[in-house]
Amino acid sequence: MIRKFFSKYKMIIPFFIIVGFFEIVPIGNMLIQSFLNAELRFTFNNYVTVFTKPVYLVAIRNSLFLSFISSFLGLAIAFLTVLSIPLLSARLRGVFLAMLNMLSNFAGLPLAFAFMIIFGSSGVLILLAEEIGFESLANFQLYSIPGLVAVYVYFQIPLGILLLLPGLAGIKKEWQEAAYLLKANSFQFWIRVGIPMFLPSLLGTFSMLFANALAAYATAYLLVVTNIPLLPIQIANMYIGDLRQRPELGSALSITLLLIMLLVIWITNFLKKRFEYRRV
Amino acid sequence: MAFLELRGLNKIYGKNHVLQDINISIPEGKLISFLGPSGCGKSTLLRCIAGLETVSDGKIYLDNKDLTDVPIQKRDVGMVFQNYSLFPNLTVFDNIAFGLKIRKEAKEVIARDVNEMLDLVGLTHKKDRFPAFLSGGEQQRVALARALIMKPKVLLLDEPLSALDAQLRKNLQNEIRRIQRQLRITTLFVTHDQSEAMAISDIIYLFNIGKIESSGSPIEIYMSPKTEFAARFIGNYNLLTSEIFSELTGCRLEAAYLAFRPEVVKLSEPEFGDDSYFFSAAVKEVNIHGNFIRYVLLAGKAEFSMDILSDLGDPLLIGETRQFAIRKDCVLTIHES
Repeated sequence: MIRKFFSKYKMIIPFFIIVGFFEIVPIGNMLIQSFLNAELRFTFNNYVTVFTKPVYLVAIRNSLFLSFISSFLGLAIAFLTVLSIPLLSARLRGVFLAMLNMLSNFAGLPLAFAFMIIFGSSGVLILLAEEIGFESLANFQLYSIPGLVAVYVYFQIPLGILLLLPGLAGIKKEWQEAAYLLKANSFQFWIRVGIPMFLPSLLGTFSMLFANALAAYATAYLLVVTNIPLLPIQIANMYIGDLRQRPELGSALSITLLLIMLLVIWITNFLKKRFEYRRV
Repeated sequence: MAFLELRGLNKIYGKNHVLQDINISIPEGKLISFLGPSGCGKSTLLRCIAGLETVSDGKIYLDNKDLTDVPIQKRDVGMVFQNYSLFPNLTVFDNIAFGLKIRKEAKEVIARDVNEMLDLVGLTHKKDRFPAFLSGGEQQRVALARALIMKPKVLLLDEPLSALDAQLRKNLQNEIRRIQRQLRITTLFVTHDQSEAMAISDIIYLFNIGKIESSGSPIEIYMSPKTEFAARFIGNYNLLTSEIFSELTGCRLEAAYLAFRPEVVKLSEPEFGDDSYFFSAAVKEVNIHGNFIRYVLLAGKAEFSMDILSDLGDPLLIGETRQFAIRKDCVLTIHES
């Protein structure tokens, strides 16, 4: 019986071993640690600290704001870009997809450096804007929440496009043609048929982008260090603090981050099911 | 000028000349079939009329108006697609109401017109269903109602029955014909099924590789094919070269091909006279088709088929050699190849 089971599922066993060691065990460990104090006694204090101390509340608020706004803007831009892909010639589409793959992997420290070179206090475009008197750009603060929004939106767009592309393939050209023959224009088609049919894909992509932004660490760390409290940076500080490490509080913050992610995924999945139509 | 007139229409995709000099005049209120094998350009022609494809050259006139460069939305043309293309997120009612809502009709008008259409296609009891919960035939009727509610000047049907089973196809053929006659709407019906075209049409246009091969009423197309292609595609004509026909019957006729339908080949009877060709042939194959039996007969180099009603005596046996006859006026001469 056991031999039969192993023989049937042998190809997937390594996957479960990896998930076990690198997902289940650390999460279990974090969950336990989050309910322990420094003397390893059971306590709720870590969670009380997370939800009462202003620095953590601000970190949660900042992370939620940044994740939400960057996911929303990234999704909107990705959606409009995806709609225009069919207008490209086959050759241009190939070039676009190749660039997209490259851009979607351009994140973390290199991306932060690139933004610093272009939009930092002495960035190329900022100096140029000062020179030509383009005030609104010259006053742009990269090391602020709006600066972080710009960087986050930048790395959300290519991922958003990649995640939306399969959904676009599900919007049939014949639906569009049928709508045009019934006197609808392109906007009316998208409002009445296209977007409702695309909604599950948009919601799924939104939850992926939200999780992506919520957990983003390296880019944010290099740009704002601890000047702007963010949840991932606060978590890291609990493990690499100069004065003392507080893994129990870090675990409580990590579980909080995880719960926020799960809540967003649950809500989007609930909405996805609500808007999923059986195709003919 | 006819109600719908196509003049010198050409469509070229790269090196493919998909439609070649199409000239068609269609009277109002008729049901016209574009018949031909897959890839012959009939669906492309329909899409050009709808405005879903641009024409490379030529003109389209509908009701004395030049439609050639008019946007799709302003053509007054309705279309039913091969796969119906119903909107999956809308109920039957909302699918049918779609065009009226776009036209910003009053709610009472929409409700009245949609209910009339639902009644016409017999789907009133399913108006709140989503398309995924309808059978193929029901989806087809919703697509028809959705196109008809806009009261288009021309209704285009692009192989609307091809995804349905044989019995349903027959029922819906009748239903389409009934609705077309009731509304007196000019209808273009694309099909690759010759029996479907015969059953439903006032006029048939037979297409072959982007050209109109022949046209006429179903009976004209069936009884008097003008070309080899028309004879082969319509009515399962037997086609023999004049040499082979001469070997078979002993009579030489000047033509590229001699054509005769399987049902005009008869077992020879004493009363047949000078008005028939006589020959002996062996039975090579016997195929039962329900109400008739199709025999493949072999006589020298000539191989051809004969249809006989199933209730006319005992079937012939494979290998059996018998005397057969064809009435002379049933043999057509085909000069074009």
